[in-house]
Amino acid sequence: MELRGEDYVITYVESRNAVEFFGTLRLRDSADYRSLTEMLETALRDAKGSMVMDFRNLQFLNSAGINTISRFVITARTANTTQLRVLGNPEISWQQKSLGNLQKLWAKVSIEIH
Amino acid sequence: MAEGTTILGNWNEAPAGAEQSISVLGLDAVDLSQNWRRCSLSADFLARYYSYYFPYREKATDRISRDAAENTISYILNELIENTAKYSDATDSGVEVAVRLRENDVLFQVSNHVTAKRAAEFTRLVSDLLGGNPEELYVAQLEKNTDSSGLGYLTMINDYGVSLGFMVKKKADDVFTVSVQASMKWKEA
Repeated sequence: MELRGEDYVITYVESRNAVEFFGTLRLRDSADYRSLTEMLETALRDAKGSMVMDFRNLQFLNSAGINTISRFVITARTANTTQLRVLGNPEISWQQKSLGNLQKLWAKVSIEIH
Repeated sequence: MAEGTTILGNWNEAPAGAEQSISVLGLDAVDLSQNWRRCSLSADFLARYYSYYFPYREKATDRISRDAAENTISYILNELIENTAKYSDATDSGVEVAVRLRENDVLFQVSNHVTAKRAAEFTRLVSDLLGGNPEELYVAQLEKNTDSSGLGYLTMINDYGVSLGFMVKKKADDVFTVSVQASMKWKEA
């Protein structure tokens, strides 16, 4: 499954229970982010044990996108069925600065930035 | 919304001539909203433009590196410009984006126009943001499960160490100018 815009691609790789982000993701609001929320929730339902969100190739994410990802973490916390792994890139500053915040919402999220 | 001028947070009355560089970009909120990617494009342009003041990483000993500056400037300006595209609802749809490189910080100032009703809502939102603990507000906003208003400001404060100032000023009948300042320190602590 794939979501594609002019500046981004988001791919759900079912074999690895991974949602991978590429490019720059700066959509307007939660309505524009709805397809992403649906993709993440599908991945969560299908996940056996663990699920990956891979941001290593995502150059930018705006606050509406941070909101979307954060709300998904809350959904996963509520379901409490799946270990969430978040992969980040130390070379990309928003990831260094902001990805750690996901653990404030759910301490069990694992965040790997290397 | 009351007459006159409301100032909140760390508002800078920047003395003229105190900056090493100043750039001002005039835009239109209708254009920005019609093609949303114009917000990102405008932010990226000024971010790349000002990044040239910063050295490559290996030489960046007393200040942030070129990459970090470009990324941070782009994030901050994109958030501020997106807000003008989302919330400008007055008859005047002009947007002004100013960047001032100063001795210790880069000062961004983004202005747009809103109706009296929206000006009053905005003033309330900002008062709430500035009145609380930004880390706690950040989590509380996300737990609310809405299009979290103010999340952009809170990420700037918490994650980028930016200080914010706000001015709301009556311009004409039912037209209020909202100006937001974000100060980014560019020297490494």
